Amino acid sequence: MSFHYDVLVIEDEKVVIDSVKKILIPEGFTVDETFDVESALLNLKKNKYKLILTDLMLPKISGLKLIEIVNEKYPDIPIIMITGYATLEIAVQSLKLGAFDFIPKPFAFAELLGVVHRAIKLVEVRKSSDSIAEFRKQSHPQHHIDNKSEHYYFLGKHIWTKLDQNGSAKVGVDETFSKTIGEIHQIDFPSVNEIISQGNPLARIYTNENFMHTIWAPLSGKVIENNQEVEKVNTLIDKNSLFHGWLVCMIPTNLEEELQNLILC
Amino acid sequence: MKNKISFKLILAVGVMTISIISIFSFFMIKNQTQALITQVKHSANQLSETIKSSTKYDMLLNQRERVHRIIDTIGNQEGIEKVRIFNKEGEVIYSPNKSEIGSFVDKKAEACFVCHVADQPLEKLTIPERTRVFEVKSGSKNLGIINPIYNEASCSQAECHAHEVSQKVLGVLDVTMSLDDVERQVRSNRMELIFFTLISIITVSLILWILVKKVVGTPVSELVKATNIVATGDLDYRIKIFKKDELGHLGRSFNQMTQKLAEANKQIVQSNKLASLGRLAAGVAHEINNPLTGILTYSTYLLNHLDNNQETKEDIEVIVRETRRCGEIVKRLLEFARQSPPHKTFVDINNILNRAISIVNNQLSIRNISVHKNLEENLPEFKADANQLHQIFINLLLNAADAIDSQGGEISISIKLVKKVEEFIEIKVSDTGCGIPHKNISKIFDPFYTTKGHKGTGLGLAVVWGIIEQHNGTISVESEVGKGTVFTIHLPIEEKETSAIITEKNIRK
Repeated sequence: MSFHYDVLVIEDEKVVIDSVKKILIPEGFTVDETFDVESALLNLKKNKYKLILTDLMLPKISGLKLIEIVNEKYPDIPIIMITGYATLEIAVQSLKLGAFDFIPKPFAFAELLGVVHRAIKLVEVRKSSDSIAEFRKQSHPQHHIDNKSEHYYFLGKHIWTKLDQNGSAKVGVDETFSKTIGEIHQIDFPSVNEIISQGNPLARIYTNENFMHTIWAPLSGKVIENNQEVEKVNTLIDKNSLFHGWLVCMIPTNLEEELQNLILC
Repeated sequence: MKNKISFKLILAVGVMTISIISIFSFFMIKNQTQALITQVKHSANQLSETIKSSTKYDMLLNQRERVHRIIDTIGNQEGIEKVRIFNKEGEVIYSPNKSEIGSFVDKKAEACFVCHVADQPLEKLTIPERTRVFEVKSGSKNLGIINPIYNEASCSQAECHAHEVSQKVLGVLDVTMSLDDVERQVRSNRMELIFFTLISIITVSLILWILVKKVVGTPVSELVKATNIVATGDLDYRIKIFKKDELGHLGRSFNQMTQKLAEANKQIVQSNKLASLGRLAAGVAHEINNPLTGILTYSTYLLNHLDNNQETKEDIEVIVRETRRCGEIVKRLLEFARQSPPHKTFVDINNILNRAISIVNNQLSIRNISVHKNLEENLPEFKADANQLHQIFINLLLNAADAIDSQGGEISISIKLVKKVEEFIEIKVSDTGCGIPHKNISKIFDPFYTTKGHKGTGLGLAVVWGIIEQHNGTISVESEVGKGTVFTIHLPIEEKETSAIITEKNIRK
């Protein structure tokens, strides 16, 4: 018999599954659970899911391998990685492999709901307009791909960075992200001069629904400026997310190596 | 005793002394004996010539009584065994021993044998041919000399009993002398030599024993003692006796070896400490993350579903806050544990330093800290992990800044190329801060050791140490309380399989 679930949780630790269910079920999500990738794949064959929430370190088959399998067989299901073993490199790597986002343990109510809502929203948005590339073509038809300084590097699907000629890099989120988070209530910016490494939280967006969305630093470096305008003019991040909608400007410290973890668009 | 060096040396030298003196004595005594015998031969010959010439006249006159008297007088002198004259037929004609007169000697006897060897008597003989040494029944040695009495014109022409002219030899004078004196002399010489040998052996042995004890024994026993102490694990023990000989050299090498051992040991301990702590941290962090997730999600859930009960809300907020803090601690633990292997490329060290300074510069200038750079230009590029070196500079700069109080101060950084056995880059980061107390200096590289209370993680220098170790470099620290601290880093330019050595210079002072 086939069931329809919103979320499939793959996690070998019972307390984490319980935590996820405790938060998601009262919000109206239906949740299915497995302890390893093998049974998850069986469930995926049998049932329909909107979203997969998986631990990175799993017995036998790892979460990374699961991304590849799901990308191939179920490309419409976004995957959120639960990174327990806080290997940021692997978390960043999972984004390059095609994970929707990652959520490091221990996570709180608002963080989990934020990322799950965003992923579910994405599935809905996709039904109307699709991929980032398409979206980018529509928004900026004047773009010249050969001009390197105009390139956008993406961490995962929604966090971008653009290198300026003066050596700084602006960081922001794309329109899909803006569309999927809802009304922004508050943005927590990093402090100026703070040094943040790739994959660590750079900014946090709180929405009116009291969800939290974390913007991961796409590059390591020193924060030099925050675009406070975005907070004031809520629409800026919606409409102009790739231009004036930048959030943070930073000086990268390890550019060449870290660019390899990003996706060039 | 048997295995002692001094015993072996003394034995060897003793055997050598005995052999040398024995060979020497053998030849010396032999030569001496021969010289003495030759001397006796000559005097015997002289005596026999004297007898011959003193009896010649009486014989010519055929005054036999006078010849008898002369022979008797001489024959009874001390040292002279026999004096005899016998004629060609072997008949004894004159002898102090009257009973012998008239008897015949055997021509085959030793006195006659030389001439009569071929039945045809020889007529001219040399002294050695005429002498013989023989042993008599009493055991003492005698020397006999024969002296042929030749026919002369005055003999053959004498009126008395005229020997025939054709007769060449008329008779033989046989003188036998005792060699007892010579024997005695040789014996006493031998005794003297044996005595001398014994004295030399004892003297040489004594000198050797003292010398070996002083030059070899004492340093060697000190070395043995030191080795045993070091073997029990006390690597700080040093040998104090230093001479300029090979043993002194050995002692110095031993001290160097123990010093290197101590350093290597310290390094291994530090490495193991870091590695096991890293594993422990990773393990604990991994295990703790899941229960923390449970606490955090349930408490945040509760927080979101509370009905305006302010007091409970505040209580739960404490749970959430502290759980988040735990999460931060775990994250730091994991960052420390996750010391990834260096990703080495050719780097420009000055450039990395400048980048690091630009990052912390604001923080430093706010606190009135000035940075002085003394960078050698055109340094060779070498293979290293740029990020990790960057991390080292940031950590050391921030540490130096934390050591400087609110009055402000200076941080000096020098980078230069040093050529010793190998080429390496020397980086010195010095500050005018508070310095590190003597007792703490060995702990500063330990993970989680901090003097900054809640502000510090205690991982900064542990990470620096780990990075330098992975670059096969060394880091040392010198510090004086109230004056400041100098960190010296050596990074090899050539990649090779050495390991980091931690030296804490002011511990040794």
